[in-house]
Amino acid sequence: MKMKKNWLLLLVVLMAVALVFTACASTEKEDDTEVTTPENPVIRLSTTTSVNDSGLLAYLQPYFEEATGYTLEITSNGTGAAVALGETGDADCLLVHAKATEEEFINGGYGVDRIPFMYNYFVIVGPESDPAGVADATSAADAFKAIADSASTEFVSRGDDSGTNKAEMNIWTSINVNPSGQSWYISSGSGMGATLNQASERLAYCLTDKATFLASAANLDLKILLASSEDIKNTYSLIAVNPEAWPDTNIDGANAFIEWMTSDEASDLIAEYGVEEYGEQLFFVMDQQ
Amino acid sequence: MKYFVDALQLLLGNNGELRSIVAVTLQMSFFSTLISMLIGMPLGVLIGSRKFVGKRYLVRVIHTLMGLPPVVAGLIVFLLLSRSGPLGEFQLLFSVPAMVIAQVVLITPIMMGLTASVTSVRAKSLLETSRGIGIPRRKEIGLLLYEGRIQLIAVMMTGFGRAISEVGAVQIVGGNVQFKTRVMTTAIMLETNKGNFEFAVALGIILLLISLIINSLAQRLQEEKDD
Amino acid sequence: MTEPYKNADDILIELRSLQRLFHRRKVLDIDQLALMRGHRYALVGANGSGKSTLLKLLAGVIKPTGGEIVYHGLDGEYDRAYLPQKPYRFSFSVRQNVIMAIPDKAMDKQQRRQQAEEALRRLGIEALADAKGNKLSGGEGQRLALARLLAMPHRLLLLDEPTSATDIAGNELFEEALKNYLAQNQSTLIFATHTLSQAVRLADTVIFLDDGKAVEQGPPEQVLYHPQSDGGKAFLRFWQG
Repeated sequence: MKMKKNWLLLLVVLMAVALVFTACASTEKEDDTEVTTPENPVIRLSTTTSVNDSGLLAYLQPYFEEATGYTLEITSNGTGAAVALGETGDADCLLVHAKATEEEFINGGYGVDRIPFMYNYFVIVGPESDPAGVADATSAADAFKAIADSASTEFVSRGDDSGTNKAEMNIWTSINVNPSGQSWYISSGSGMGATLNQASERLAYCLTDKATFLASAANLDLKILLASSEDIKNTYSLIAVNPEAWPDTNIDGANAFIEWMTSDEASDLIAEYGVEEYGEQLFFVMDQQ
Repeated sequence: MKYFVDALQLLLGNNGELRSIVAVTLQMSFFSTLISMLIGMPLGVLIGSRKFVGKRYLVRVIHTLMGLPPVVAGLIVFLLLSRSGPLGEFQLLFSVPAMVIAQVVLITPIMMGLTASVTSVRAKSLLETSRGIGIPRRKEIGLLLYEGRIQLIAVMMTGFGRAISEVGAVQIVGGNVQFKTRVMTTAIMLETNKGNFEFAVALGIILLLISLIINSLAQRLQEEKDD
Repeated sequence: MTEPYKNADDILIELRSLQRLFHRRKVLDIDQLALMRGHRYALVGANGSGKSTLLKLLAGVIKPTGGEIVYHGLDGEYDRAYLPQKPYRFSFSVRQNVIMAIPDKAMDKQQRRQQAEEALRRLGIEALADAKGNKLSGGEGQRLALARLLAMPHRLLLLDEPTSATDIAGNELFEEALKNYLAQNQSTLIFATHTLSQAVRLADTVIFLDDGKAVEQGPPEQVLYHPQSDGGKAFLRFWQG
């Protein structure tokens, strides 16, 4: 009995301390913003490295935080690990781009709904000499066939189960090629930047997202050979982590983030992103159904 | 606990990728340690047993290099071996030899520094004695190495431990290529990033087991020699 | 030995303006000294007087800072043998420790082994032939180190406090073996010692060193019991308590 009482007391003290801290935090916030701070102001967003590396989130974050009063905590990992954070209740919201994995996540009861909100295209890059003739292909599937048939060229894959890697594997499957273990197929098990480096060193082909490629293109001996084919469309989705699976996740925050990301304000910001730096739009907002 | 059960099943099963990773890791660590020993130990003996001008500065440089951050070594070797680098024509980047080169850059100063301090303890007395009875000078390095062998086994283990557990440099110069340059540490990074924790845990277990086995062997060796 | 310069042909080693610095301090400074063939010299003096430094210079283990040492008829690789104050014992067998001091040019393996065992016998440690050199006690180890020198005929023996670690029995055995060795090989002996009685027993000439200088030289009775120099007198007072 005595033990139990001590525990209760400790709990009460801890809660009181926590309250004081949150109270302080909110009064501070109220001084410089008119937006009232939500009850649980921190949203844990789990995303993939390629999204994070593109710089889009860092660009949107201050607009979102100012508009809603929430604070965004972004962690970036490979798609597998990014989704796993949702499965273990260590994230409130996911921003990923791997349809099959996302659907699996929702079917497993971990996510509320999959909300596709923007897209762009993967591009196939390779050496300027283009020995396999990828530039002449009309689709990514054609290009991959040409690479597989050409004996002398290598293809560097991320091989890390990332969204990019999954998109690539889908194309191989669609043309009935199993590249794994082939001498021309290099599975780098690395992030996009390191994989591009390796492709550049080897003068090999590579499937990449446009933003990462453009960001490091100056240091690479690679060129975009195929862009914007329908079979390499890259769709980004938002998923709120299901509060039924993890009751202490911040579902209100997740919903607020999703709502803002699909708002007109965010759409305009996304459309503008990258235009100034690279002279072209990097992400396209989906037409709202 | 679930991860451990799955990991054990993987270990007992017949997983080709797992075997390839372990084989590449052992190969890389073995050659890195061997080459670093062949360079570092004789030089370490010379440094530890001789007096010469600038020795203090040389020792300071070696001690600095002993703490060289692995990613820096990896970066330097990457730039050297890159197609646009001075050694690009050999096309060594993203190969096991490239990883061994980076490891040798990292481990040789460690072997050298530790060997020098191990040697300096007995060098004066040993050299006075061996010169006093007319033992040819060319035999001195061998004698110093032989007499320090118990400590040098520990030095070797330190080098091997560094080689097998290094991740930054081998990721940069090896490129973590499946079946070719993927080693246990880079594979653990990758599998963790994929959310594939069973595989990562299985690799972690193997890594620990290898360390345990090798350290036990080294200890046996030391105890036998000590009799 | 009142007049050591009787016959210039008998000079084995000449020291000329020999200097050795250690951290800018003169630890040895001998203007002129001749050491004669076939004699037995004891180097005596306080700690830090330069005895060990002189022996190391004569052995060639260290180089002089200034001046020179001229050797006469000591050109062979094994003509000089030197025993440091703290001799190293290798972790081989005791027998192998001695065999390694015998060059393999002149003799076959079997002969080297026999010669090594003979040397161990002379110092009374033949029973330890198969033990590891680094596992011996201090006294046994010192005898091993001496056996290593006595296993080969050398023209000049340089010993730095050879019996500092041996027990009395080992000491007697060693002095006996050394005397036989010197008589047999007509070798010259130069040794440093702290035991004045040993100097009297083994040496025919005592060189008294004081602060790096050779201040007195002569027969043991004269230098040790009737010193002329101030340093020698002080040293004697110290010894007599």
